[in-house]
This record gives sequence, C-alpha cells and structure tokens, in this order.
Amino acid sequence: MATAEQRQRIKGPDLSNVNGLAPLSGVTAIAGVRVYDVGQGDGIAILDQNNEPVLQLDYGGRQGNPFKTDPSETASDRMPIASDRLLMISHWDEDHWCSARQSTTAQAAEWLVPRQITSPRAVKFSAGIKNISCIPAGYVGQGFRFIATNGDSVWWEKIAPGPEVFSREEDCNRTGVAMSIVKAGDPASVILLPGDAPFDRVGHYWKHFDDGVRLRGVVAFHHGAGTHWTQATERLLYDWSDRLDPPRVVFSCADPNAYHHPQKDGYFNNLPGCSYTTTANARKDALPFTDILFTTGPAQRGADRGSD
Amino acid sequence: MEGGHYAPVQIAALRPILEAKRVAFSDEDFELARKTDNEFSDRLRLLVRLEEEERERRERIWMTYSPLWNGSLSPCGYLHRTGTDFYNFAWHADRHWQNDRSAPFGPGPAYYVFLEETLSPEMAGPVDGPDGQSVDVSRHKVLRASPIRFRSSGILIQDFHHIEGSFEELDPENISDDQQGQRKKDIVEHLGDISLPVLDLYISPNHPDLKAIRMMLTPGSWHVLGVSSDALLEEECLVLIGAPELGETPYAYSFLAYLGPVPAHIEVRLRDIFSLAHIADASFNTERGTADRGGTPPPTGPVFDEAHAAELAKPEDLAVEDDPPAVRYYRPPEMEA
Repeated sequence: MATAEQRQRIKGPDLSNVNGLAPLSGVTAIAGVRVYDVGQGDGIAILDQNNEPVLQLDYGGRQGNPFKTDPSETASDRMPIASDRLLMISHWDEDHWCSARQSTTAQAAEWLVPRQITSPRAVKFSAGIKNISCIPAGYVGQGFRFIATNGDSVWWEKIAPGPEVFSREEDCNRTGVAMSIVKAGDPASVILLPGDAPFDRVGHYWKHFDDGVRLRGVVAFHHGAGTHWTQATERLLYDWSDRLDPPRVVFSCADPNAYHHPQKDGYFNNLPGCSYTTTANARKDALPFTDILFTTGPAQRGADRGSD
Repeated sequence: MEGGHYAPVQIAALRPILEAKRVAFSDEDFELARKTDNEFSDRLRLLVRLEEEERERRERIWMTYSPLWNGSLSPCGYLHRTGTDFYNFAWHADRHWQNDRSAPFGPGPAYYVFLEETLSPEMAGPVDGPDGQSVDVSRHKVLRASPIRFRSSGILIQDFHHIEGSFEELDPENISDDQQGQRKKDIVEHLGDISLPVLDLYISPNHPDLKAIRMMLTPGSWHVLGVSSDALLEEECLVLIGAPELGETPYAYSFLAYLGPVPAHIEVRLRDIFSLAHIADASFNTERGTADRGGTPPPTGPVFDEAHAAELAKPEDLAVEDDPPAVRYYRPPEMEA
C-alpha cells in the first residue's frame, strides 16, 4: 500500500538548468497552467506564485487563430514570454509553433525542442531561432523535472518511440514532449499537458499514478482528438479519476474546425463528473485564456461544465 | 484528352499491369475506356506510362548494379564524389532522370514533398487551407465529396537541386559544432528566399487509387508530387498550394499529375538538409538524480530510477512500505490481467 511518505518522494532526475538557463529561477511556487486561446493548436504557460508565465509549452495556433481576425491582437501580446525564459515545443506539427513566426519575443526565448523527423517548414523556421537546443537522445523516455523553491515541479519527458511508431517515418505526435505540473503536498496533485500524445504513452504519468498523485487537471491530448485512444488510455484515466473531486479538462481547439475536435466522450466516460471547457468557448466570453489552478475548488472547477 | 502526350494504348495490354498494381477496374470500365477517348482512358494511359518508366528504371538500375550483384565491384564504387556531378554521386541512371527532369512529372511544376498528416476533414464547416484561411468548398466537386486530405509541405524540385550543392553532407551520427553552425547558416542563407509551401492533396473517397495512395503516403515519408492546372489527368485529385507566410496571395488550385517515389540518393539529401541537424543537444545540469546515465532508453515508460529505488530501500522506509518501488514500466492492461 502506498504511504503518504512514499507520495512525497516523487522523484525524477532534477535539472537545475538547461544551457545555463534556470527555468524556475526565482519561482517559489507553481500556481497552475494557462491554456491560451490560439484557435486550432496549443499554447500553454506555466504560472508562478503570482500567476505570471514562467515557462511556455508550445506556441501554436493555426486554423481560427485570433491574430487574423483581430490585427490588434498579436501573439507576443497574448502569449508573453521573457527572453530569459524557457519555451518548449511538444512536437513539430505546425499548430504547435506557428504563432512564433510572428512573435519576436517568442523567438528571443530559449527553446528546448524534441529531435524529430519533421517538415521542411519546421526546419527552416527552427534555423531562425537564435537559442535553440534539442533534447539529447540519451534522455529520451525518461521523466525530468524543474523544481520551484517550495517543491512544486514541472515534469517533462521526450516520449520514446514505441513499437507502433516507425523510426524512419515518424508519427511525431506520439514521440513528442509531454509535460506535467506537480503541486507538492500530501498528497501531491498534478495537471497533465500531454501535447498530442495519448496519456498512456507518457512514462512519468504512470509514475505519478502509481505514486498516488491526485489528478487535478488535464489538457486534452491532440486538442480532443478521438484518434489514438486505446484501452490503456482509457484505463489510466478511469483508474486515476477521483470520483469525489474530478479533474478539470480543457480542450484547446478552434470552433469550428475541420478535425472533428473535440470529441469529449472519452473524457466523460473515463473521468466521470469532470468539468470541462474549450478555448473556443472562452473566446465567446472574451477570455483570451483558460487557467487550471491548483487553488481552484471543486465547485469552481465545475462551474462551466456543460457550457459548450 | 487533347494533344498527343501519350502513345496509343492497347487496352487489353493494360489488364495484367493493372492487376499487378491491384487497381480495381471492372470489365465495364475497360470497355468504356476502349470505346471512348475520355479522361478515364487518360488515366489508364498515365498508368501505362508510369509502368513503362518503372520498367526502364529497373533496367537502368539492373545495368548499374549488376557488377554489385555479381560481386565484381564494391558498393563504394558507386558512392564516390566526382565534383562535377550535380548530385555529388556518380549514379549514372539518375543522370538520365535528371537530364529529362520535367518529363516524368507531367506538364506542371513538381515538388519534393514531406507528408505531414492524413485526414478526413469535416467539410461541412470551414476547412483550413494551406494558407491557414478557410477553403471555399463550393469551388470544386472533390471538396464537396468528403475527400481524404493528405497534407504535405515541400520544395520545388528545381529549387532543391539549385541549393542542395550548397549544403555539406552530414553524418547524422557524427556532427561537429562547426558543422552544426554552418548548417544553420546555410539554411538561413540558401532557403531563406525559397518558399516551402503547404500542399494539400484532396482525393475523392471513391477514387480507385485511394487505397494505394493511402498506403504510400504515410506521415514522415517523402515523395515527388507533380501538379498541373490543366485538369486533364486527375480531376478527382485536387491539390491546393499555399502558405500562411505568403500573405494575401490566394492559394493555387491544381490537380495531381504525378506522384511517385523519390530516388533514394535524393531522399538521403532531403532527409539530411531538412533535418534538425543544425540544432545542438541541450546541456543539462542536474542537482541530483541520475540524468546522465546514457545507454538506450526503454521503448516506453520511465527508466528505472536507481537513486529513487535506493532511497526507497532505506531501512526506515521498509517498515511502512509493502509495495515494490513506485516506478514501473508500462504494460497494457491486458498484460496486467
């Protein structure tokens, strides 16, 4: 039986800095994550104790992004990132980085990206980033974490190719970087940011599950796609869900879009009682982002259930 | 079809070719093709032409490689640089192809394309075009017929061969810092002014070649894609070309004229130049843990954390822990059972 002491000892190799940059320097605690409305795609910030972005995962937004309809809205304004902060890309699909093309601030950040087989467009774009580095091959398939002063942590993992992923003709969705945000405590809590990869493909998610970390929030993988769901995906969510305090789910997608996103049944069936929202719905309420905060109580998390 | 691009076709001779290609044509189709000179028979002509080209290619390869197969020559003999060779390889068979580059790909431009995704988009709502704007679904019948979309991006063949000689060939297993830096400069310098458009190939769900094309166009693969605005050959295969960064320029409507494999030696160059080889590995500093353990990672799941396991094994912890160390390799549920 897992003990409280065991729950507190959630360990992965700790990274103090990347290329000399300390991603959580000066961060005393992590408040949660901010899922920006970028249309079809992902753009997510990790928030510090003052709800300020300190680390960015993805900088996308293709179909239906707000920057085309509102010229006054720029990617730099919507997704601010300081030049001394880390910007990670989950994978090289264009809807996960394309808004950085118009953002000088994003291009000035320190980029940490997965080494993947990718498109000519992504290669050309990446060559224009001054400070960019890849996750080394020797670090693939292992969870790492950046730690705030109070023990809160940002976990990330470059997913290793599995038997169904060709090495030569790579399905980059399933070999990208997945992230999770862990709030230290007894028990600890976690928000999952899987990028476009199914949850069950992320090794350190299983570790969190085994360690008894409570599931508090989920950004739906692949913008709420109905593809790539397996029994393992469903089983992990179903077994992890807290029926008394179900997690909050955010779908980052445009409305409408051509991809049949989001398909919510997988979440409703396997996270009974979960609250949910979409970034497209947030736009209707003139909200440029949706936050998932650790401090939010169950009642507030459930407030927007059924709003879609 | 107007004009005389293709030699007269002996319809009966097509059957074994098409059967070998597993192309489904009924007897009625053959009869129709035999009797009429319509676009359908044009497609048959195209297939015959492709078959003839494939046969010629095999013959050339056989002539080129026969010394290898009979053991009289080392494979390295075919990989030496010549300096004057456009491809940097003395592969004679492909010179022939290069000298007559436009012929195999149809009358329009041709691209080397990297397949990014295959999708059956929801055409009832706004569909994102290659430029990021919505596609006018009413503009073509294929778009109204729940097509399959193959999204790729690529480079005009002549553009690629114009710049490829400017890029040093890199060994992906052994790239120096200087080479990485030079590659980054080369990409910016030589590809900076070249557009790399998105090419969306829409194919009708009823197209007889759809299955074969789906098998061919897997994510991450490279192909030659030739287009034509003439709509003579494959009106059921629409190609939209554009890119968000090209600004207000409306994307081009074209039709598929050619789709074929990239010669291996060119694919090597494409995969080299359009790779992330110009990006160095990150330098991580760890405070504790065992990040830099090296070795080959497991296929899925976390690497066993030795430091964690050692800590769990401390005597004071043993009294309260009944479970094995809280690190496990992922196994599917059916295996758990």
